[in-house]
Amino acid sequence: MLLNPLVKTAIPVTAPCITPDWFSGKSVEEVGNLPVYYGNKEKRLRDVFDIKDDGKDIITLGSVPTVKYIGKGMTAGSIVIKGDAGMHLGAEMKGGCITVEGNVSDWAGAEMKGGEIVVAQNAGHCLGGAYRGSKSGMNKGLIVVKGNAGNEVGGLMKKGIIVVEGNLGDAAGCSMKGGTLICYGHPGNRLGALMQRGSIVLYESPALLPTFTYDAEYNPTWLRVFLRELQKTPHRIPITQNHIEGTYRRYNGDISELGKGEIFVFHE
Amino acid sequence: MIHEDVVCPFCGCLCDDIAVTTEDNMITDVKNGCAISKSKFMNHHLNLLESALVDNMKVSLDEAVGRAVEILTNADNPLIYGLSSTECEAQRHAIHLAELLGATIDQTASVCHGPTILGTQDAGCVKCTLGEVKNRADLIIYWGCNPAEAHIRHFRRYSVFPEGLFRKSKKEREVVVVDVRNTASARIATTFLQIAPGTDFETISLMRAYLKGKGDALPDEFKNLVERMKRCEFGIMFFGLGLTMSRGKHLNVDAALRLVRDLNEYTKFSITPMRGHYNVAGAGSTMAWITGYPFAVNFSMGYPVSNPGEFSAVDVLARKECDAALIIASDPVANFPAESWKHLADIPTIVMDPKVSLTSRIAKVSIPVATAGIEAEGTAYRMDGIPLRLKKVVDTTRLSDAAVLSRMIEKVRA
Ligand code: SF4
Repeated sequence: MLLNPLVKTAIPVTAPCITPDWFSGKSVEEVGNLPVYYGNKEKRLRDVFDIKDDGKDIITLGSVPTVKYIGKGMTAGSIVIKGDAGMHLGAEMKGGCITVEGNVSDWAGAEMKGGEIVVAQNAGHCLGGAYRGSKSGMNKGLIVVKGNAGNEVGGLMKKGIIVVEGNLGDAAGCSMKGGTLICYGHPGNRLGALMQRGSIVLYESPALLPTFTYDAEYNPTWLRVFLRELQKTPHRIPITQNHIEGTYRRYNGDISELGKGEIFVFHE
Repeated sequence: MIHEDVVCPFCGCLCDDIAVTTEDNMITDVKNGCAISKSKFMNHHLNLLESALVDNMKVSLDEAVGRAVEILTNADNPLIYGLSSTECEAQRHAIHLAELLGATIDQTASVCHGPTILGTQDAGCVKCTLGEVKNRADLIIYWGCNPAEAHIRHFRRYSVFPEGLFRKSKKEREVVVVDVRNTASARIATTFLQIAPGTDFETISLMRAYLKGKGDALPDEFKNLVERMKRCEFGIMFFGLGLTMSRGKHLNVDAALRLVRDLNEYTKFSITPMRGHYNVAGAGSTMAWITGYPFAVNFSMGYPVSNPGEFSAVDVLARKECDAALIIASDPVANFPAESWKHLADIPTIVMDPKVSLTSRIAKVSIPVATAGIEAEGTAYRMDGIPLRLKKVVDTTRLSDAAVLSRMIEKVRA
């Protein structure tokens, strides 16, 4: 299915119906009839998108920076966005894959429970994070961002993997409870604040909080296995042989909380 | 005529002992209040919005309300913002209007103590009333706030100087001020601890670690403070925008709330935000008991959804997502970042305010209203969440915020 946005205003469009689950087995007519909100007006998908059937199972969208909740709760299938995507992309998704060729706004992959999100450029705040008042953020799944990400990436994350190839904003991995966050760029301020468990792997030196303490320098076995597995994904994550075999400095924290979180900083 | 025990409608202290003298419907004297309070009462009749305006042309109130409703009902994504300087009944009507319109509604906490609310949602909050502080507290900590200049009677009525049941004077209380600079409040304190700007989170986190027997890197004066916090009989921490609006925002508050929670393993310790506008605490409470959320609520799908960052007024305006705005008892043009308030000038904005403000100058529709707490009565919540009744001390022909909003609701429903 091919969807091209018809409206070019900044008014947000709320369209949680754009998922392979909702589209499957439906004709263009039926898909066009799915409900969306344009601001506070209830409309049909055909009112805001030009919909064409290209005979493929993949949902392909044009640039949709104001469309929220694309792929919300999806369980399988693929969505490709040929430009920017709006807030809450793939929120609470359980399976399938979303590819964004441009930037993605805030709360992408928030509280996701499985599946993959790949972003070719930058991501907004709260990537793979938790909604306010929620007990946990991302819980399984993989997010790869080729550019930079905003603040509070992986906040309250429980399981799953987030890879950011560019820089992180402030407080990445805050209140993290598990899962793995890998960053190849600058890790930002207050990394791992209030972290309880989970692992953060860095390839640039961070300014760590004083509530993280140095443990040892070694080559963690789990990380070797983990990086080899990540290398097998088709996302071209810049893992080198050095990263797999080299040593990492391990810091432990946040000691003001449970203190079982770990930050690995690549050494050599 | 002397009106006793009037509640001051200016700051979150909500002092309820003001004596206001009126003659011929004019306020002639104000006793007990601080200088700001006096100025608010004595000058309430100056700089007023004299008539309802549409496109800067004088119109009748009915016409202005009609035009406002036309703008709001035709909008695809209207925004309602303000609320903290009016009473709870008006806030209730504003929320009802937002629900009918499918609007986004936000209150001024989103640019001051919004992070406090987020921190509370994460960590919970050990609370007590200001009465308990006055009667019992023997250790009072002010962190990142300057009450001597912003909440002028706070020391005198609630914390440092009053004669309480168990603490009779300043001699029986220890006052600690933690701030990035030596403020007027720091000079009243028994101990002043200066920290580097932007290190609140780090300091509080280390204090928590030290409490758990781990934070060796904590400077000695703060180790000493933690020991005193553990030893006191009843401790209270007040915090202000130094925590909520410095880098880290809700994380700073989160850490402070957790520190206080941890201290309750040793003694009785509470924490209270120094709320600014007199009824900003009421705006949060009213929104919470009606919608379930204290700020940044959206009704576009017919039911309330809250997400600060997505539905907070500053962000909605910066992303140019709203196409009409109703501003109630607030002046966002004066205090929002330029990228946000400029959008208010580009869209039809409606202002309800007693006075001329920067926002009323760019508004398409201006509706003059009575000043709550002086010309109209109502309820307001003190910074500790205690509701107090605002009094009406002078008469006016102008309608209250609540009355104007209920007229709007009638018109929307018609
Ligand atoms: S401290 Fe605040 S509430 Fe009390 S009189 Fe002064 S301005 Fe009014």
